[in-house]
Order: sequence, then C-alpha cells, then structure tokens
Amino acid sequence: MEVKINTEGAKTLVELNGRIDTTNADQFQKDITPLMQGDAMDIEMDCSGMDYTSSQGLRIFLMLQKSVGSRKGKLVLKNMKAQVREVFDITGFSNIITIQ
Amino acid sequence: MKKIRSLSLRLSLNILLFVSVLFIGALAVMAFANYREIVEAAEEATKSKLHAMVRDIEAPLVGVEVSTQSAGKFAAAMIGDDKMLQRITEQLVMQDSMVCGSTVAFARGRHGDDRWYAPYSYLDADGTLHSIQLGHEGYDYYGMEWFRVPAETGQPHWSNPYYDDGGGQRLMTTYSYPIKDADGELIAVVTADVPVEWLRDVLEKNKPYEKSFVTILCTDTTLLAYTNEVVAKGIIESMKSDTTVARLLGNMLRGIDSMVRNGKGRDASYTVYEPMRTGWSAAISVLYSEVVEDTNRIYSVLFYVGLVGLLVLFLLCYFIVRRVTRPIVDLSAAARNMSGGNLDVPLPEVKSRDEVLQLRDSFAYMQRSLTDYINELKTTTAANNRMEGELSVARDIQMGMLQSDFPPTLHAKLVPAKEVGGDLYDFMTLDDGTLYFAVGDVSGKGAPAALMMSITRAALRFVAGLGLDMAQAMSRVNDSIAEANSGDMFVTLFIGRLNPATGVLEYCNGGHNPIIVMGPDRHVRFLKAKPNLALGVMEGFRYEAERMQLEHGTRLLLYTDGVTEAECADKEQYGEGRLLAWAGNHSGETSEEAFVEGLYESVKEYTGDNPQNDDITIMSVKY
Repeated sequence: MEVKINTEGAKTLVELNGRIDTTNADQFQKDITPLMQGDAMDIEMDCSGMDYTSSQGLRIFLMLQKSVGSRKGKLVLKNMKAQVREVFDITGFSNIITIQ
Repeated sequence: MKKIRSLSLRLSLNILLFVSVLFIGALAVMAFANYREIVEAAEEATKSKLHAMVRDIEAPLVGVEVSTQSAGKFAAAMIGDDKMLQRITEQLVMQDSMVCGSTVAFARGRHGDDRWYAPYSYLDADGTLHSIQLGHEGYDYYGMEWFRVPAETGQPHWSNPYYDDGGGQRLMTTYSYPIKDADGELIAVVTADVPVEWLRDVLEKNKPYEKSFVTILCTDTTLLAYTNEVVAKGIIESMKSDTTVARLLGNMLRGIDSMVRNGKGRDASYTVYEPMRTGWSAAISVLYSEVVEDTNRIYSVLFYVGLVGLLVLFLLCYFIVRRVTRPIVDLSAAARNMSGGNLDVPLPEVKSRDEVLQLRDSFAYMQRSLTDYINELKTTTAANNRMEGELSVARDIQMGMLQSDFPPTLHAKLVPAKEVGGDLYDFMTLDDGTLYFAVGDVSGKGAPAALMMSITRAALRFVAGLGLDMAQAMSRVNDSIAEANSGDMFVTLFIGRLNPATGVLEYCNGGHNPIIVMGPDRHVRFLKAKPNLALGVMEGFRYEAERMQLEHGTRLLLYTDGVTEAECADKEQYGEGRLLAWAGNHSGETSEEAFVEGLYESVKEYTGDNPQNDDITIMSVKY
C-alpha cells in the first residue's frame, strides 16, 4: 500500500495505490494518521490505484471520516475501482462517506 | 578450564626482565669504561712506581760513585805512597756505609816489579775492618769484570753482581774508577764493593701487587734481584722461546724504557721497564687479574646487591599487581557465578579509585540492568502466558457461546483465523415457531474483535427475544454496539427470520456480504438486499428490513468475507464467482451439515498451505 499526501492550499490531496489487507492495515493507519491529527478540512483521496480493501481498511476510512466530520471538514473518495466500490456499497459505507 | 598465567606473574616477570637487562647493560657499560680506566691508571702508576724505585736505588749508588771517584782522584795523587793508598781504601769503606770493601788495584807493571798489587780493605760480618793484599796466584784480578772493563774502556763501570771469593764473600757489585797517568795510560782501578742484598728489600717494597714481579736485569742477562723466584726462573726459561719476552729483555739491555703487554686471559700481564745508570734495567711485571681484583670484587658485590634488588622488585611487583588485580579476579569469579544464574552475587569491594573501580561500577550496573531485565522478562512472560491462557479461555467461551444444537434445517461452521475471532453466527427458534438466524463479521481480529462479537451476539440474543421486526431489531443491536464502540470498530451483520409454515423470510442486512439464495430449480443467485450500514458506525441509524416469499426447497447460504476473500498462494481470492459456481454444483446436497462442510473443504482446498488470515463462517438454512 502506498500513500502520497500533498497539500495544495486548503485542499489535501491523497493518492492511494495498492491493497489494504490484514498484513498492511496497521501501516496504512499510521500513514493516514497525520490527516486525522491535523486540521485538514478538505481531503480528497484518489483511489484509482487502490485494488482492494479489507474490513480493517474500511475501519480506517471510517475513523478518518469521523475525524474529519468532527471538525466539520469534508472527505471525498474519488475514482474508486468497481470491486472496491462494491465493498463500500455492501457495508453501507457509501452512505456515510462521500464517494465520487 | 585452560591454565592461565596470572597477570601479576606475567607483569612482574616482564618488569623483572626489563630491569634486569637494563641493570646488566648499565653494569656492563660501566664496567667496560671503568676497567679500561683502571688498567690504564694502574699501568701509569706502575711506571711512576718503577721510576721512583729506580731513583731510590740509584741515589746511594750515586753516593758510592762520588766517594769512589774522589777516593780515586786522591789515590792518583798518592801513587807511590802505598801506606796512603791502603788508608784511602780503608777510608772509603769506613766513610760510605754502602761500601763494604774497596781496593786500589794496580795495572800490570805499574807497581814496581809486583805481578799484582791491590791493597784491599773490607768489613767482615761482625763489622770489623780488615786489610789484605788482594792479588795473588789464586786471585788473578786482571781478568775480572770489575778490573777488565774499566781497564779496556777507560770509563767507570758498575759490574754485574757476583759472589766475590777474594774478599767480601757476599753477593755484591763493584764500582770501578780507573786512574790514568798524564798519557792516559791506566795506572790502577779504584773500586768500591757494594752488597746487593738490600736491593731485594727495595724491590719487595715496591711490589705493587701481591703476585707482581719486580726485578733488575743485569747486562749479562742475570736477574740481579727479584721478588719471585719461580717467576724469575720462568722468565729466564721463556726468554728462549717467547719472542715477546726476548724482545722485552733485548730492549731492557739496550737501555730503552717502555712497557709491553703479554699473555692472555688470567695470565695477561704488563711489564714496565726502565734502564738504570749502572747499565742494568729495572722492571715490574703486573698481572692484569690482580689490577682488576678489587674492581672485580666491587662489581661482584654490586651484582649480588643488584640481584637481591631485582628479587625484591619482582616480589614487590607481584604482590602490588596481585593486590590491584585481586578485585578483577573476584569480579571474574562473580561473573562466572552470575552466568550460572545467580544474579545476586555480591561484587567485591574496590577501595582504589581507578580503572578497576570503573570496571566494578560498570559490572554492578550490568548486574542491575540484567536483574531488571530478567525481572521484566519474567513479568512479561508471565503476562504473556496469562494472556495466552486467557485468550484460549476466551476462545473456549466464545466457541461455547456459539449454538451447536442445530435443527435439521440449519447448519453453521465458524473457523477463527486467530485464537479469538471476530465472526459470529447465531440462530434460535422463537416462541412463534419462526427460525431466527444471523451471521456477522467484526472488523478486526483478536481480543477486541472477540469482545465486540460477544457484545453483538448478546445484543442479538436479547433483541431476538423481544419479538421485534428485523429493522427494529437491527437498529437496537446497532445502538447497543455504537454505544459500546470506543475503538471505531464496526460489525457487518445479516439477520433473518424464516417462518417455516409460510416460507416468508424477513431479513435485514447491516453492511454484510450478500447472501446466496438457491432455489429448488437449482437457480443460484445473490439475494438483493439493501446494504443499510455496518453496525456500530452511526448510532440511531434507521435500518430497513425486507421480506420475500421462499419456494419450498429453497436453501439460503450465509457467509462472511473469510470465504470469498480466502487467498491461495498467488494472492488470488476465492471470490464470489467461485462461491456461486460451487453452490450451483452442490445445490442437490440434502444435508445442511454436509453442504457446509463441503464448502469449507472447497475453500481449504483452494487456499492450500496458505495461512488463513480471516475468520471463516458458513451457514446454510433450508426451507
């Protein structure tokens, strides 16, 4: 799993590549931590390179959503592959996380 | 254990070796310089001594020469007065204490018709003066050295020592003074006999060392007087063979003064020699071994004192180093003891404030750290053991909580990936005869997931008994979970209630994988269900339930993502397609248990040796 974080003004652009599974979920959480602890208001994640996420990955997206939501920010996941989108749909996460 | 040479011994030996070399070297250099100086000084001293001795011997002889010459001049004036000549000889003997006899020996034909004429006065052993006529048939003095040499040369002469059997009867030398007439023809020889016994005392007195040899060499190569008879004989013998000695004697007889060194080793010697006015040569021979005897003694004392000093130094070093290294030895023993597991070994006290103290402190620090570490390790290990024990207990409890008294129409299997899993299933026949069932998956693994799972299951059990519809039931469970959810975990859950009398299925999906419906016509499909939202994410979320009429013979297959996401060695997942295909192929299975086990075997066969990384739950419900 590869995480690239770029800040462009008030907007934080994140690029996700690869798989989130049992073996690297903890690392993914560490990589994402700055976004949860910082004060980024507008986070846009490009998921075009993301191939798979396990339920642990979902949990981390959920945490990020809660964190951003608590400071009235906005999290948008973009360009999600169909099989990944399906996981978000099945679990109903697409109802609470903005996916474009 | 290997035998070790102690540091103290090694260090002491090294110091001893070094100091010994230094000491012996210094001693050798000192001795070399010293010996040369001593030998040179001794040679010079011997020369001076010889010179003084020669002067000492010559002084009285000069006196004899002077008195004999004046007696001779007087006698020359008194030629013809025999009585006076007799008086002159008496006078010479009486006047000069060195002189024991004197004569005026006339040359042939110079005293009338007398064949010999030589009035002679001498002192006998008692000191009484006698006067006799010396020349007679038995004593033809013309051929004797004391007369012959001055007669021939016309010069005064000291004779070689001889035993005079004419008058003095003792070993003596004679000083002869020739008296000549106006034409220079010899008239008579005036003599003074001088005994030479006293020379021996003088020589003896001038012996610089006990074994030194002091001698006077006469012109006829006899040794006039000497201090050591054995040596004297040896010298005379070696004169013939030893060129050095021969040359020495030659030089001495030619009246040269110098010094020669002779011999080797213990016999090495030097001889200084100096000519005397009598024509003789005085010499002193000294053995070098005697010269350096005192020095040798001093050096041997020095050597033995040094040896004792070295021994003391060695012992001192040994004991000092041993005292210093004592704590190291103790520390090493303590370390061995510690390595045996006894961490409470007392460390030796170190009183010195040096490196050894540092070592001891470091050692003490290590001991403390090790003790702390081991204690910590013990605690951790104990905690780990306890945790493992607890986990296994938790697993037992968890697995015990799962229903296993399956009715014929339902079977389920749950295989956790770790000791305590996050999957769950539940079923219950309610009071109204309906069959309630649920399959869920907690995000995460291990103890927290298991705890979440327990909470979920407890909530499910509680809610199921309330007779609520599925949407309400789901909402209540969600609220319970969301309330207890502190770690941002969530649960996907599918619950359903089947009325076995009517075939009506009520269900509600909380973000769970779509279940598979296998119709009696062997048509296999995913059940379209609203996903709603995984439980625990949002408190108060309003879940929507759905309802459908099942045909008789329909089978429902519930599962968790542990089935579809099971991976083979190449990371490829079992997947929904494979699951659907397998279900289609086995829809004819009549036993729910066989169906469930068959699917599990299929998944296991697919993953092979690849470790299971998620809980696997399978449930089959038949109408």
